[in-house]
Amino acid sequence: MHHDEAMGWGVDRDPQRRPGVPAEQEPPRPAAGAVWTEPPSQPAGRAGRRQTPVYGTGQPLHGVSGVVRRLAYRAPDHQVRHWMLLLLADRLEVAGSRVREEPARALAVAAVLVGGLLLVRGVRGRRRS
Amino acid sequence: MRAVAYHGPGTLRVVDKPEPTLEHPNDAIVRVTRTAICGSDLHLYHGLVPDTRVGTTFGHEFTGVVEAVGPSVRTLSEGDRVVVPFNIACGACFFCQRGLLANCDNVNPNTDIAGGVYGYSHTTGGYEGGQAERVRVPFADVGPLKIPDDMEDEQVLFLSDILPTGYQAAEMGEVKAGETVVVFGCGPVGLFAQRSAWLLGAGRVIAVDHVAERLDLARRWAGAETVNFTEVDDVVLHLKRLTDGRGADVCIDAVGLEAAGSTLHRVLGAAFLQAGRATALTWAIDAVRRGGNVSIIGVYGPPWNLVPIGTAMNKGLTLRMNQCNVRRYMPHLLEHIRAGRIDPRAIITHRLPLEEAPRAYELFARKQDGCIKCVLLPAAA
Repeated sequence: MHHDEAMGWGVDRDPQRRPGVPAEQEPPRPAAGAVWTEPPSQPAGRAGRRQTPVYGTGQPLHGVSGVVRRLAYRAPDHQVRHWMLLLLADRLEVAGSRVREEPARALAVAAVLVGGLLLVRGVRGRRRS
Repeated sequence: MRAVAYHGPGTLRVVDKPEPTLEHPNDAIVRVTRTAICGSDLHLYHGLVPDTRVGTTFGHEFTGVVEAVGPSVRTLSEGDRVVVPFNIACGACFFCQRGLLANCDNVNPNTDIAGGVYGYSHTTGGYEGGQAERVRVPFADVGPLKIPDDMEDEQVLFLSDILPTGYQAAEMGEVKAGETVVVFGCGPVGLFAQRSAWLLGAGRVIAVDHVAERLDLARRWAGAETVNFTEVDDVVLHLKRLTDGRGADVCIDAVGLEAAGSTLHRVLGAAFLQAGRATALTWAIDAVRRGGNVSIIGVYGPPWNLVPIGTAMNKGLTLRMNQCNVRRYMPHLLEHIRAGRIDPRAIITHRLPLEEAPRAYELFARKQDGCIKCVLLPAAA
């Protein structure tokens, strides 16, 4: 398509018409509707890294994954262990959830894993002897 | 109420959940009328975003009707129809005062690297999302935009995210009249970035993807020249050939961490040796001209990715990126919709009941049945 055919071509070519120019608005000013300097806080009571005036309250920490997440939040963002522990906690939580929801299937998977382990050990033992 | 709930990578269920409540004086409760699945929801769906907890309701693109407001809410009242930006922002902190509403300091207790987002893991604050019958909307005086009486919900639904996100992607490219813009990705954000590049005065828009229906829409609806990267030997060399050997003035990464096109990045991403696959970003850095601009709007998970930063330095590139500061763009883009310059509804390919959300995610994730954008309809809508 030639640009002349594009609907609305160039209507925002003047940077002054672009809502995000400059990237940081000058002078700094509150957004419309924000009548507070410091917003009021919802009741405190979460395990995050710090308390913010507003936060989500879905899925509070629980169980083993909760312990790992608490450990993760002790590490700052720039440390790899922070993110790796969070990903580990995610997988642990999913595994725990599946065990609770489908215990028979979880038992079957565990039996296969244990059986496989015993088989490998048995083969190794025979080779050594 | 009925809501979508995450139960591990690739597993979603629609379950009964407690009704949301007013937890802060400036909260509102919104009955959801339309809610969409975003490409970035797929990163959650695939378990790639840290601290995505079992039971989380996704969804950060929604319209609805206000059902209740907290005692300090002044601008909204019961019965108002609203479209809600995906960012949750206080509007008054250091960052919000500078227009960086995506980087608000008062809404996310869990990390310093992100603000608050509906239904996008505890890494963005632990808020429940809009793929539900109702949702809690914090800072109701700051975020939501009232939908004009003469406009339908679906006309403005994508003001919640992907239209401003695509526009900001083009804007961060600092497009000048007549310049050549390459957009990697023809998903919804990529398509809106292509349309936006024309609004900013681009002389050429080239779209890169590998999905036939998406490339077709890029051609027909966004008016872009298209490149299917699976049909060329080397997409970077191909783009350079298309641009007199110099490279594009602006390259936009509208793909993010689930890019196709590189086995190396795929393997490293799968092994968590990098946070996803930075294929599109690598191509953007390689295909832009020296001194050009690279705009990153694709989402990448923390903490690191393998990108050719040495190439970027030696080429003298400007890299710009951020989550979209949605509320800043809403009035301007509403004007474009009204003027008929963009009809966002054109990219909707599927409308399904909320109860069929798991199937919708599967269609979208696997790009089956020509799925480009999927809108969910709660029963109470």
